Amino acid sequence: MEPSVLSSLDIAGAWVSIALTLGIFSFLYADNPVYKLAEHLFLGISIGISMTEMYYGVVRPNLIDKLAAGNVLSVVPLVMCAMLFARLASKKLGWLARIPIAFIVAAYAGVKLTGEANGNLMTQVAQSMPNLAELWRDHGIWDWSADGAGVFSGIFLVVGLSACLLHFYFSARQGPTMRGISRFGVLVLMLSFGASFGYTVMGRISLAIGRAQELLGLDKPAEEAAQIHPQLASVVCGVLVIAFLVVWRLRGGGAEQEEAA
Amino acid sequence: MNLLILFAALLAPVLAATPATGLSVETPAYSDGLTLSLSWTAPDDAHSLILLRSDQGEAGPWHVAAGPWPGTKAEHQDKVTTDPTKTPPAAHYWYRLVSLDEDTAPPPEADGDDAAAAEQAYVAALLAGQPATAAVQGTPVASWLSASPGYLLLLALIVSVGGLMLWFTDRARKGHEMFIRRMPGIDAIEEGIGRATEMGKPVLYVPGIDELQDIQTIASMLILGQISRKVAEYQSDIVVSCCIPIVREVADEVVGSGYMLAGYPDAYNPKNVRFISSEQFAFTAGTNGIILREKPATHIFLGRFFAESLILAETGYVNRSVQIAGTAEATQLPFFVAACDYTLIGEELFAVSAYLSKDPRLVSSLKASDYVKVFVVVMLVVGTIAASFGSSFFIELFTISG
Repeated sequence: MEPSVLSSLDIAGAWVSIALTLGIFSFLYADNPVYKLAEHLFLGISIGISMTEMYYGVVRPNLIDKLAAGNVLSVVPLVMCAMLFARLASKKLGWLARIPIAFIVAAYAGVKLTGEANGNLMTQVAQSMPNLAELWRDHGIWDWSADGAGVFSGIFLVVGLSACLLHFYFSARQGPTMRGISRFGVLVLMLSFGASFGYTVMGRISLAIGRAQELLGLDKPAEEAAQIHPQLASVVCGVLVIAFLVVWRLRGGGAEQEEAA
Repeated sequence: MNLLILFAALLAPVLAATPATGLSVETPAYSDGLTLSLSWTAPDDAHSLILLRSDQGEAGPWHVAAGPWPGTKAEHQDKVTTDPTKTPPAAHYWYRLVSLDEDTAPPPEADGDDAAAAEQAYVAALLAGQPATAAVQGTPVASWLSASPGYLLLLALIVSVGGLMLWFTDRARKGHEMFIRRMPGIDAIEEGIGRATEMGKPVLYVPGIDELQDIQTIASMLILGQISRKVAEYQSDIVVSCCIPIVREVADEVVGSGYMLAGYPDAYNPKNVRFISSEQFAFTAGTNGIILREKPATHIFLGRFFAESLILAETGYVNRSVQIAGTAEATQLPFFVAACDYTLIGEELFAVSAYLSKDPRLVSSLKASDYVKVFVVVMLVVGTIAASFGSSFFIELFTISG
């Protein structure tokens, strides 16, 4: 197999990617023009891409192609789209825009009703009724070898879930009993938040490692890295960003932010 | 010994798998119109079975619908289409069940243009060389009502909640007091607006990044109406950063109405309600820019958030702003709890809109959902006791199937 030869455009793209990554990282020092450049490029490009995707992925296949094929019903969404723009034409006609918005919200509410109720209520309740006798038989009070399964976990699930639900009971003043239940519910919530926090932070660190690998060229095949020279690109772009920040700072950049703070 | 081998060789064609018998196709009870129930009597000698389906007629063309399964399988629920909007179900379907011997190859795994041709060649070879049942026709029909216990309970809950809402709304309109417990986050919102006014800086409001039809975005828009009214009364400014164009349009109208209801319609500046980008992290970068350059005194993040929650809240923390967040997105709540001054957890987000607006319809909805919570707690306890004594009645009651 012959080694792939990258075009100049591919190599330039990889260098731009490294430069923009370092530009975004420069925010760790302060808000500065390099960061602003990266931010505005990101915003502009994302809007351009999303508009193109919207046209080719939604408007063209669902509206233009169907109208061209003589589908009369497609006039309805066309009219609704036009109504959304009525506010731009005249303030007096602004109320027309509310009709398609109301239609979208109401249709979505109807379509999602059973799915949401099933996923977020029925299934969760059905799966929160443990068979304690079976848990006792299979695991006893607590089974380290089965991730803590057992009667204790079963009871904790039901009691904790009930306390969480009652914490969100807004219709009555909280007496001493309800306050105790509510505090236990909050404790259970915080325990689950802590676990979720740690789990997600691990995911974010993995994303940061991904960026570091790109800067060092470790995410590319050796033959591509040999053509791009990502480590050289990181050093060159890093030096340029730092030099720019030094010059920018010496010329009084960032003084306004310090005053505002 | 040689004779035995010769006998076995002669018998081999006779001992090849026989076809399944009694293949029948029925529409399941309470069907969604996309599923057909198939049953058959499994042959004794088949190594495995494969199901073919046609939507043209008993002459084919045939496609592999499911399988290969072990030869003992005797029933199957066939989903005739997985995406009914793009591929609507046909009026009728025909099925044939093919018995496979041990040496028959599994269906080919080809991609792209070759896939259809490879499947046709495979099916033709199967029908030529393996025993198959005759074609049996089935008609998918959608039921008007599913009478399974789960659906009936769900229907009863929806009707009960609707009834309770109407009853509470009626009581509220007749002047009965509708008590709702006050939450610390509500006081924090008012304090935050006051702080922004004192500092002469705007309030930043982010209504999440989901579409308008999401319930959290709707709740956020209701709260935005109340907050913008309060901001107008305090003669302060509010900047709304939106990720979805339609949400921006609605926010524009909501904030404008808030200023009008406060008696200061001319103070409203539509340029403060901004569409940033519909790309998640571009929106985050743009909103961070607002936080860093306009230095709002108070940040209010209410709505549906995803991975951007921590980035926004951390930037706000660096900016030393008062931060109030609220979402029902369980995976993002830990970040708001860690980085914000006040967090509205889950349903508190919906309670705030009812509390601030005092709208009888919203208050009655909150009251009705409180009753549902009590019902669920009772069911959890009773269901657990019943399950522990071997009865799965309550588990089945909350299981939606079909």
